[in-house]
Amino acid sequence: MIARTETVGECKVLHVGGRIDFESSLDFEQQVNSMIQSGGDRFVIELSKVELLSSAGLRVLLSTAKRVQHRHAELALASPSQVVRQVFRISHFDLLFKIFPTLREALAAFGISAPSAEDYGGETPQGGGGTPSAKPAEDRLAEAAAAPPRSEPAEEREALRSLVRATPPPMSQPTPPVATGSPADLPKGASVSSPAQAKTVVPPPLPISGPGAEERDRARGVTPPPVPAAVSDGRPRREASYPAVLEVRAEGISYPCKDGDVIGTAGRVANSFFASIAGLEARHLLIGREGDRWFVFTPKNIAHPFVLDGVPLVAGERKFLQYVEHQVEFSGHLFGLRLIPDRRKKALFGRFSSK
Amino acid sequence: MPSFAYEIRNRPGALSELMRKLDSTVLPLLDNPSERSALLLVVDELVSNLLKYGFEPGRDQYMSMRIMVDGEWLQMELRDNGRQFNPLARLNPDSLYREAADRQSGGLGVYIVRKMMDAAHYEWTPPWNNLTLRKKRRAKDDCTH
Repeated sequence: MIARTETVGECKVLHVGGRIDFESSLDFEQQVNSMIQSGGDRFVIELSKVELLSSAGLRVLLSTAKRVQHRHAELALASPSQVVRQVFRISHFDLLFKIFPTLREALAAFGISAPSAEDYGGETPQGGGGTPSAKPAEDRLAEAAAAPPRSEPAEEREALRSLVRATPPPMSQPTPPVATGSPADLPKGASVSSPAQAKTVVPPPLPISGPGAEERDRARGVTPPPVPAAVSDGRPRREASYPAVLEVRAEGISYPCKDGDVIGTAGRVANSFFASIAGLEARHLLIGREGDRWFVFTPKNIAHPFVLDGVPLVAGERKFLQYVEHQVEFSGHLFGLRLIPDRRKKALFGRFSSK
Repeated sequence: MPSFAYEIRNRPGALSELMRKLDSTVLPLLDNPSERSALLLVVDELVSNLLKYGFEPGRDQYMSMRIMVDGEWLQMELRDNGRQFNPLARLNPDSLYREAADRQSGGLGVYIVRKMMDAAHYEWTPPWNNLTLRKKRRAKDDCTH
């Protein structure tokens, strides 16, 4: 294993290459420790040249994530090689970390522009100066995570809208600019008011939930997004009765789920439906079970989470399913999650008790 | 079918010595990076596990390993006289979907091995653990497992 640390702006970057296996994991751990002990609160581990990452290396990354979290610092992983991505996928470590395709994007997430092309896989760094952004680090990470590939402007627009939906500005202040781009990248409803603002995308006004939100929206001439009928028809929603089995319902077909199922283009559940949805990630949503309770989990790398019952899911957080019926939306595609009481145990008990 | 045999003794440095031998023997035959990393990963996980937990200090124990490569399969046969241990009977780590703070890393190595390979068989014939692992070979540009 080879490793070297550099400082870029206010960020410490550890470049690692070669094999991170049982023998070299101690060395890897020392390198990571020295980087963290050298101070600062933003760290990137760059993994493009890693040829092998064993569980010993994963343990180092896991303990590092815990340490960094404990210090209220931030850690990102950048440009993982193919073999690293494979191990991350198998071990589900891709759910634990902020992972960026390039070091430049990881640094950008920390508000740092790339100083040279040397370490960025030949990419030309954009912007300059290396001045950290004044925005909170969490916002910068969220922005970077939401940034889709540049070759897909439609996705970019949608991701931008998603980001704005997730972080609406205060009502009393003017809407701040949220991103830059060419006029071709403008989302629907955006306006460019002057040449000086030609690179500033002003998002369309967005509804804000809470008391009086509908009145405010009406006053602003905003049409709120469609709310699922189950939520908006005034009837109380039926609480799910646990234990329950979970089904995905798509295009009139029910697909039974099990703990660990994946919803996405690579998932087993309703694959014919999800594989055809543009912009969906391979592992967009995970279905899990804790005790009797079902939950859904959006991996941290998902820029555009599903919208559950009208509310976007939060990447990196679990959402327990509470009702019999839930409606899920993604880019206009709808499907349902349905919790059906699991009668099997009762039936079995009934047979014994009736004897 | 090219075939390579190795022996790992219960002594320090055994794993790095084995890795060096793999580098000069079987690895050059594998042109798919995914296959190379799978082989190295499996060897690293299983042999390090054996050295840490399977062998007892001071006892003359060893593992023999045979690796066979043909156009279709990469096959590994591992045989050791350490403690009885069936890696295929291990449950999946139960914290795979938890946040970092709640995650445990125990059992992860064996879990990865099982996921990396396409077929596996274990048999205990006292005093031997016998493990056979097979991985379907794929084109160079296919790096999925």
